[in-house]
Amino acid sequence: MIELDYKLNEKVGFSHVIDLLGTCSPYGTERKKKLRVYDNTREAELTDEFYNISRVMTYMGEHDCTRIERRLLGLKDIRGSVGSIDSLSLNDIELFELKRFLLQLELIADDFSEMDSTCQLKNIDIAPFTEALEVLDPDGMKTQTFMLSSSLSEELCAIRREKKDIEILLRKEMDQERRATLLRKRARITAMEDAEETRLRAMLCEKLLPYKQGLLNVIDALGSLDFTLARARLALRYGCCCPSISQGGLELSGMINPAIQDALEKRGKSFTPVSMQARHGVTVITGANMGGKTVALNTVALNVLCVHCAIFPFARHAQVPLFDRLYLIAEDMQDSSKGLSSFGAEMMQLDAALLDIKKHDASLLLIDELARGTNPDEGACIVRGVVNMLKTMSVISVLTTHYDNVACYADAHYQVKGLCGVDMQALTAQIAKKRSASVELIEEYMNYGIIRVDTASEVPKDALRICELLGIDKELLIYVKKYIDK
Amino acid sequence: MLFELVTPYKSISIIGMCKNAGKTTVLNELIAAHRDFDGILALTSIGRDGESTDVVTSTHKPNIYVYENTLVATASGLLKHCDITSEVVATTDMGTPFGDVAVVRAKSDGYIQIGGPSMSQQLIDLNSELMSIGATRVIIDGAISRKSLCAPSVTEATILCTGASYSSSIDKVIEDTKNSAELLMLDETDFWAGEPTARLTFCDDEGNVATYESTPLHEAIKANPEKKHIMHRGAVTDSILKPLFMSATPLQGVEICAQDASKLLISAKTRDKLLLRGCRLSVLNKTVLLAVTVNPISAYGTHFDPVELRVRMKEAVDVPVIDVRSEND
Repeated sequence: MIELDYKLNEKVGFSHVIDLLGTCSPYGTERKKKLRVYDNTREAELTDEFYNISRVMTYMGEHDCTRIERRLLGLKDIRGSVGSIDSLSLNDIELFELKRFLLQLELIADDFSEMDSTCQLKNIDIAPFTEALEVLDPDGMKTQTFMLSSSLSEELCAIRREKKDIEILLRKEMDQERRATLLRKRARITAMEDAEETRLRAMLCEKLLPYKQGLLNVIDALGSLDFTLARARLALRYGCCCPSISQGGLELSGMINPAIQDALEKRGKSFTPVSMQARHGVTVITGANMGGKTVALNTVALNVLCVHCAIFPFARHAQVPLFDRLYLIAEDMQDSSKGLSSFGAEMMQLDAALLDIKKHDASLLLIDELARGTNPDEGACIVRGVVNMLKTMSVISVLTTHYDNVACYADAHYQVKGLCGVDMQALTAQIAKKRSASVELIEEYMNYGIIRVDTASEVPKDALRICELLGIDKELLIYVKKYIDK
Repeated sequence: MLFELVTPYKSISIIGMCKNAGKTTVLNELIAAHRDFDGILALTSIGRDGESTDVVTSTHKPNIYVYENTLVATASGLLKHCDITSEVVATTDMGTPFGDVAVVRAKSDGYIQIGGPSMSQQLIDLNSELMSIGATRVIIDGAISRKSLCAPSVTEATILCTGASYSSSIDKVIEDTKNSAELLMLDETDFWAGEPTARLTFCDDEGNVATYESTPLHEAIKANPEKKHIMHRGAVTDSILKPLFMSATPLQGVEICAQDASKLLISAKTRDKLLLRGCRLSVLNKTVLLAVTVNPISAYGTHFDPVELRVRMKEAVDVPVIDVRSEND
């Protein structure tokens, strides 16, 4: 099963997606914090989750769900109290919160049954708990408060009557000595009241005990409903699609990465959707510097993670197999505290992954610019070696690189469009007008989309062009060109 | 007498000059006065109160005794120390060392312990929660050194408690109480309006403004000889004002305005020095000081002559002075 890792989640923007899920209740929030990860042994459950999200999305399009969401918002976390019903020692506050929960549950169950008559959600069953509520609301008043009712025992009723009589006398009595006597009497009676109340609370707990499991189940269902509503809302907001689980390769069209898109939007820009197919074997992404190879790779990782955590992927269309393992090898993913160079560390990480892949059938291996920190001749050889070895293994792998003669060994080759096809004259003219904005202008003209090209296609040589656009010293560029021409 | 004083207000705080100043006696007095009140009284505190022995000085303290229908906002862990028959009305997520604050309605008379939230904002929220539950008057019991409670944003009016426990010198008790009372009664500024946006805002009569975040007050005053109106955000303390005297900063005609009296933490001496140099203090939001209560009994053994204390305090302050014990008799 894929293990979620904080560093990976942060890097690929999965943490941002989790933050975007607006759950209402503590139970939904708990589901969000402790995400369930699905592997191919749990495909049926995952399919049900996707079915539920789709149904709720359709429902949300036609109905207003704010009422049920508002009611979920009113839920408090009572799992602690439910868990300790067995101890038979819940206090008034805990019994109060349990009663409030049961009253709120009645309202939510009403909303839910209306919603479910259309949605027919799978594995979510929310019904009111009338029997449990009767224990805490014996008079059936449905008040939003809780007290141990005098009707619970004749003894309590008698004690409280006596207590009241003394208190009435105390209110009038001015004589200090007689007051002291009354106060002593009152102290005795309040001790009796306390003892009887303790007995009655234990009795209520005992009566609630048979419903404990049922309560825990309905709490779980409320968490599922809340989490489903949050996922549906998010999917509607970003135009996510319902993925299909594939038995073969990976196919993601029109993917976006919300973490990056949201940041770009703040600057008035937009994210160029990325599409990619990757079958067993090796897919290579090449492209210009500043062209977003890494972004494309991270976006693949993000959307694969989403599918495995039952969240709709941020894509127009998605076909994703269920993996056992997901590896992302990148320079900034390493732990530099071990004293290895960044190159050493990434090779160690790759080695561990390769060893692990041999033991698992369904793995996705994503490698970002392997060996970029070492001597480029050897670096290119290492990458070619890795590609050729991966071709013999049962794994879907995607590599980004700017080394030459790598893609020719791969099964598929994608290229970042970059500055390809850009009107260079217009761009140069614009930069000439406003040199300080050259980086922003290049970003604007840069096409971050990727296209499938022939494996024989060469890596685009954009570095020099970008240097020119950035206005790097002309003399330096003349020197550089001499070597390129050689 | 207390009841008549509080009648116009929906929320009242009780603050003390020190421990054992008689705050709880005043609270009990007020509760008793509300026994036949036709509204609903609600009680809470900043921090914990109502233990029969004071945790700090281990002196005997009066318990808080409430009457049926009173709303009590207290830490859930303190409910077991209350002997009222109680109905739980609401729970909050305001944490205290004794558990989250819950609101109960007394269904009988009896003793309670109050432990409310400790932040002003939480008290403001709790206040409105209590009002929404049906309270018509909220009394907030203060703890030592929690002057923030008397901020008008928290309660509309305040009662200041003082007594022999503050100092063994009656002169010091009178002098410091007078200073605190006068600070609480400072006039509202007739120049400034609206909450300050900077730590220091200077303005002249023509409306020219200068603002400062980190410049010390005395330097800022020297840099703005024409701007006589100063708005000071946050606490104004002796140590902020001391450099004014040491650097001979010209203060003639200067007005220093604080957000409210709870932000003014300055001694009688400092205040006198300001006045002598022609500097005026004011507040943006005025607090209503209802009364000063005096307790001639000290927790530490030095008791005062009750008549002398009351008479001298009456001469010193401009609000009613009440002896907490004689009110009890």
